[in-house]
Amino acid sequence: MASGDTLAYFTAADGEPPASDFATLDSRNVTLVLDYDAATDESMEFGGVMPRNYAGTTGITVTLGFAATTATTGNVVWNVAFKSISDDADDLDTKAFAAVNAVTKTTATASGEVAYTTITFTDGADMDSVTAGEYYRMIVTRDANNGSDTMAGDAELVFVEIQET
Amino acid sequence: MAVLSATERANLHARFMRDSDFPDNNEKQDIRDAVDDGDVWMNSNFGQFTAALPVAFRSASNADQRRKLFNDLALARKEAGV
Repeated sequence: MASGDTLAYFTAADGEPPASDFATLDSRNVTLVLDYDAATDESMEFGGVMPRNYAGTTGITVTLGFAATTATTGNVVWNVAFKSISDDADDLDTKAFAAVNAVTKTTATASGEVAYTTITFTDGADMDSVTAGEYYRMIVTRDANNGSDTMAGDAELVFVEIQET
Repeated sequence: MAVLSATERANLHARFMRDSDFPDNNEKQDIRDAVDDGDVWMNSNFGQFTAALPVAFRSASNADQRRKLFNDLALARKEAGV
């Protein structure tokens, strides 16, 4: 697969909530979104299989699209992490996510507009060594208690795209 | 009277933001400053509110009842837009 090609995309409906502190499903003019709180770190997980034609050399770029419930100013800190589930090796009950990669993004200038931001992962340990054809899970968290997360009110995650870097 | 604790203010700050009824161009710290300053003002001025009440109510009511009256008045004025 070539650089820039889409490997996967997820909408709010694809989210699988962790046991606690999960982002909550909401809608905005019919569009399903995931509401992330401004005061408590909340997360949502997404599962997929890495496409067989992923080259496995340049890594991946995750794009997050989000809106603000009402705010028109301030920054949101997003954390993303992966865990690979390798054949006959990794236990769904115990496998942990690799370290998060983070981005700080200023919200859009109108609350209904969607701000796009990207986080890159190098191939290998950075993305928990997910390989072509392997099941993986990705967790998207708003780092609400980070001092750089200044946006008041909920952040509404609209979509997540994974591209080959 | 006393001011709210840091935890109580943080909880109020979080709850206020969840209601999504704040100025769009305010950031978290602007709202937290409003919570803090508003709490200090209430602590400093609640005695004046109490003093403005009629003696019959003031002398017979406890502090919780006076706070509830203050809260209900503020809510009613919000709903009436005055």
